Amino acid sequence: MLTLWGGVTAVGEYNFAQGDWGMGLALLLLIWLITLLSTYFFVAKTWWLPAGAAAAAQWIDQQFALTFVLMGIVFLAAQLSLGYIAWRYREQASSPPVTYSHGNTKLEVIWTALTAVLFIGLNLMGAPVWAHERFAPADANAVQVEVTGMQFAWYFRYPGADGKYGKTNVKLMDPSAGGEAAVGLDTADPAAKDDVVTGTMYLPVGREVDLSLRAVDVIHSFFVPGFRFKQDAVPGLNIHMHIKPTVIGEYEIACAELCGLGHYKMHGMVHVVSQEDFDKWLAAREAEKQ
Amino acid sequence: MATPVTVHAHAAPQGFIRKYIFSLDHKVIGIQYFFLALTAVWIGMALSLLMRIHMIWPGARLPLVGEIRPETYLALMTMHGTIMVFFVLTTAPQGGFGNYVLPIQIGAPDMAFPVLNMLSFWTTFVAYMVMLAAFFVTGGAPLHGWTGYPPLSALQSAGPGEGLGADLWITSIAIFCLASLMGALNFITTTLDLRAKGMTMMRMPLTVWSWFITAILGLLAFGVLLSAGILLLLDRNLGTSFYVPQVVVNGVVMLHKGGSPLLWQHLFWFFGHPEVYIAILPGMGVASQILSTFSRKPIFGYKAMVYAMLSIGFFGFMVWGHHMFMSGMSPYSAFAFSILTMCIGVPSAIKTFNWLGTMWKGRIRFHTPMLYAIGFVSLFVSGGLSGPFLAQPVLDIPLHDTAFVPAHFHLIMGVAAIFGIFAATHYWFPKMFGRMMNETLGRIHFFITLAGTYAIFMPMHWLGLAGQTRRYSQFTEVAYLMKLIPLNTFITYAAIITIAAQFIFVINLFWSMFKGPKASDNPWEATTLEWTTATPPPHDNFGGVTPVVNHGPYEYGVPGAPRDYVMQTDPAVGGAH
Repeated sequence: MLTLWGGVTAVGEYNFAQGDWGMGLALLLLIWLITLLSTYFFVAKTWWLPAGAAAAAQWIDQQFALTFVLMGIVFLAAQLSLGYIAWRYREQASSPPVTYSHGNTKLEVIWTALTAVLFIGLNLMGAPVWAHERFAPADANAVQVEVTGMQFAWYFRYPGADGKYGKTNVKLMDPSAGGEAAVGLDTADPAAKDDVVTGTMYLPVGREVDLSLRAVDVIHSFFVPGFRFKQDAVPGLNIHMHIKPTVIGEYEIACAELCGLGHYKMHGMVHVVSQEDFDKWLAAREAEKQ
Repeated sequence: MATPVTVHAHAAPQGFIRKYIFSLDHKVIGIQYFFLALTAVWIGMALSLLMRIHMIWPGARLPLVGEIRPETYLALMTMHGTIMVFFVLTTAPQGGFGNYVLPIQIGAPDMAFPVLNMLSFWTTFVAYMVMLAAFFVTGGAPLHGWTGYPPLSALQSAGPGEGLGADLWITSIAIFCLASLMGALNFITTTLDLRAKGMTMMRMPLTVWSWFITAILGLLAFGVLLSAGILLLLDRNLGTSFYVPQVVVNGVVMLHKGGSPLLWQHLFWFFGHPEVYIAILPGMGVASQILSTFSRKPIFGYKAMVYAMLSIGFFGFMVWGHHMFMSGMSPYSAFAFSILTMCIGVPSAIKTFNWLGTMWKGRIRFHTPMLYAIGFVSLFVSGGLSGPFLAQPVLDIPLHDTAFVPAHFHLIMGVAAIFGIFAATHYWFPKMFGRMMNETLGRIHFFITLAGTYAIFMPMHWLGLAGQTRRYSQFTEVAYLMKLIPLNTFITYAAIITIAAQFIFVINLFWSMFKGPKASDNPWEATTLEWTTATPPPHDNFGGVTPVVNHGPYEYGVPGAPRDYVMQTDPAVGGAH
């Protein structure tokens, strides 16, 4: 029940008989409803990470699950008590006088120590996964692929039988021509003879990939949700990363760093195929080149 | 504190211009900042509405604006972020309420440097005008986002809006930095030098602490952004290469060589991360003040609250790299930034614990300021708890630059800070304008806005988990994003309703300014110094009297006291601090 000026009058007397029972209850209901609905959708996983299709996915997803459980408990505890306290301690005619206290140092210390252990411990648990993803180099027998981002396309280069990427030259870059010309491949270089440049990525299943990420104009970001993989491609840097696809299928690449007006359509596909199919595909591309 | 305050006194001005336009009075300047931010928040909100509409109906032709193209969308997005961060979240809590309330709460007649104060407001105003001018030049506003990462932001040919629009954008930010530096200096000096007799540091209201710490953050952060912005202007216009290596844009080899795009990111986020605390710390102060006042209990753990804010400010400068886990920065440093970021969660958790402790066994009065303060705590918790996901580099791999990130920062530094502003507006309105705001309208506005906020931002977490990338003008080009359109449509409808509800706040504000019932000097039965003086306060705040402080800021429910509250200037009573 609300009166025009709620519980306050011009002189500042608070009239707790005027419907503040309703206000406490309304707060409790709204906060609880928001909390429980949100929790439901997180638990039901109505919208969730896509199925993992690379070696890193299971480790990342495990750390995710752990973080969700712990943060979920804190979320429920904090929000539910906020709603409860607001309703339970509304001022009433029968309210006892408040306890005059400036806090409780012991509780403060316990609480601080608990959160410190929780937050830092959680962080340390995820650290080995990060180390594996980012500190360790790719396997020695990894497939070499160079990824080049430019407004607004991805190009993929395979070094061919010699295992060496040919030279590229900025002066030769012609994005409108696509393919080799787009990345500025210097065809005079012997190492470039067997380089294959494509607009779609093919990877063999179950084998590590040594990615070499580059960008020619602005920053782009190579994001494959299914692989739990993301890394910015930065002009001036050649960033080496590794992925190990584990499930045959097609996966979408979306640019994840704002790169200009076509950012929303800077899209690509990764086809994860068997080693045999991969070899066939690569041989066919080599044949096309001759 | 020993400085004689009379040095700073200036006579009450006569004439409209000196009184209301080029005023030296911190109260007028505070209100000027407040109204500047109020216009900015409506512009920023209108831009977000257009963005939400374009995301769902990319081909729609809208009245006035016509068809929104992908580049227009990015311009709206850039300006939404920039206007909201600088001209709303930095301006209203600090420039607005800090300016108005801080001198009164410490018992000073004005800011330490009234002329500098006027100058910082008008410099902010110039920055605001320059920013808005970017909409109207050839090519329009820039499309590089509020973070303005080069090379995109450094090359005129990188896209529409990257010409004069981008230059105006950077120039505006540089001017804003100057204004904030002047303001920060003034806040710090005022807090250190102009406190009334008896107002020791540990008797300052938590609001004063929050504005003081915010000013220190501003002083250290804005200088770096200013330098970074100047370098970007040089790269854009004089052919330097601070941020740009050799690049080829659309087949054209640029003349730049040897610059580092990551340098900008380091400088920008060295400012950018403290900036989120600049936006939220005053909200924390206001929430503490209001929760204590309306629970009729002393704040739980005053000292812990002060130390928590200090350590948030301190750690706030050491975590900027957590914005850059995917940038190509050394993965080893990611590890350090990550641990330091988790450390900042600890003082944040202390604050939440103490807010709940303050309400626990209180006698809670649900005046509108209290509702917004409770809303602030709820949003702070929700927005805060997604932090430990993003702070872990390994979880940042799937989450970085997805909708999970806007979900996180909108809840915590966006809407929680805005709830801090709503709480502050309803709380100090009686003092500022001498009249009460309508509580019924306030309650309706509060409930719609809190529910609406969650309806908008909670689903963004799910979109982010599903891989929805940020800054996409439409979701029609990527198959997995098309499946997320229904949830995006829900968010757009929620945004339309929530934005519509903001008219209730504005109507209440202006109606109450002229028609609200007259307010008494202390309508909330609060304890801090602004409630000891007249409503509205006289030109020199205390009418020639210098207040003497005998008590801490939150003495409620003191046993043996005649009332359930002891004001800071009341004579010593019983066991009151």
